[in-house]
Amino acid sequence: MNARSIVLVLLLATATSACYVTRSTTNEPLTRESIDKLVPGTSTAQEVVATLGAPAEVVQLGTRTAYRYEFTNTKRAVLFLIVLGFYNEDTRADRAWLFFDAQNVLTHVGATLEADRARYAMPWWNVHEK
Amino acid sequence: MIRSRRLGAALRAGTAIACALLAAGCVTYTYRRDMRFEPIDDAALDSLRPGEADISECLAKLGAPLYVWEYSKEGCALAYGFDKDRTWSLSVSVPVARGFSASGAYTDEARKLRGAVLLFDPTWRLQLVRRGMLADLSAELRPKRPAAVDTSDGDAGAQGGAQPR
Repeated sequence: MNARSIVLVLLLATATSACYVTRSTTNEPLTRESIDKLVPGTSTAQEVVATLGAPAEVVQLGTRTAYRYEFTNTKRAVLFLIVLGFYNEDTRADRAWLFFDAQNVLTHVGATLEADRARYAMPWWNVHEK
Repeated sequence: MIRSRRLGAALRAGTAIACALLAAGCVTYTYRRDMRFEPIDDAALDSLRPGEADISECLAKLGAPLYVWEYSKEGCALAYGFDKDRTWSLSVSVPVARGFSASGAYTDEARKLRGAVLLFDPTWRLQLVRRGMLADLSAELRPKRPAAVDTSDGDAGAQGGAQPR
């Protein structure tokens, strides 16, 4: 390695000294298997709580109720080049809403499982383009 | 002549780098992208016909909403949203006294979720679909909470009670 290469490597190391990635999550991941165990018209709120645990939110809808279960996954990638910073944050979630009638019997389920699609990236990378 | 021109260019470059290094602790120019949740499937949303689709069809096609709230009596609202923002921002931080620092930032765009709110009647049949910024739709379509009654001041009751805020 010649002197020019060493200088270049040192300069790059100095310029990218504030470069990091972090990941933060909230709650526990949801799985398709656990949601599929719950059958509208049959499962009760008690069975739902026994299967999925305590909901993150309970909403009253007149005499009916809805429970929200949510797991969020956030990945951040940050690169600082002296005074110029690049910051990318990607948040995806596993989320399920379960609706109950006045007798606390499950009537409807809506689920989206996309938490594992969160990516580390630079702001100019198209990581979710379809 | 050429030599002095090169020397001038090198001096200017050196000064720029030195300034950048000196300012590194207090000036930051940031390019930031925030992505929150998957964008709504427009084709699926367009296929939901008010008066025809029910909540089961909506949940099957669009998945779990971000928010749910009661709409009208026994009806409900489902809000779907996502955020995909790119912003440039300039931050300046200046120490003004020991233990304190003053800082200011200019950001060219506010971060907001955009999406759609689906309103269902008491039989949970789709009544209306509204698209836009979720903060605006939520402010318009969520039921307003009644103002709290202030009981801290005994005189207020004597003067006619709490006033709407």
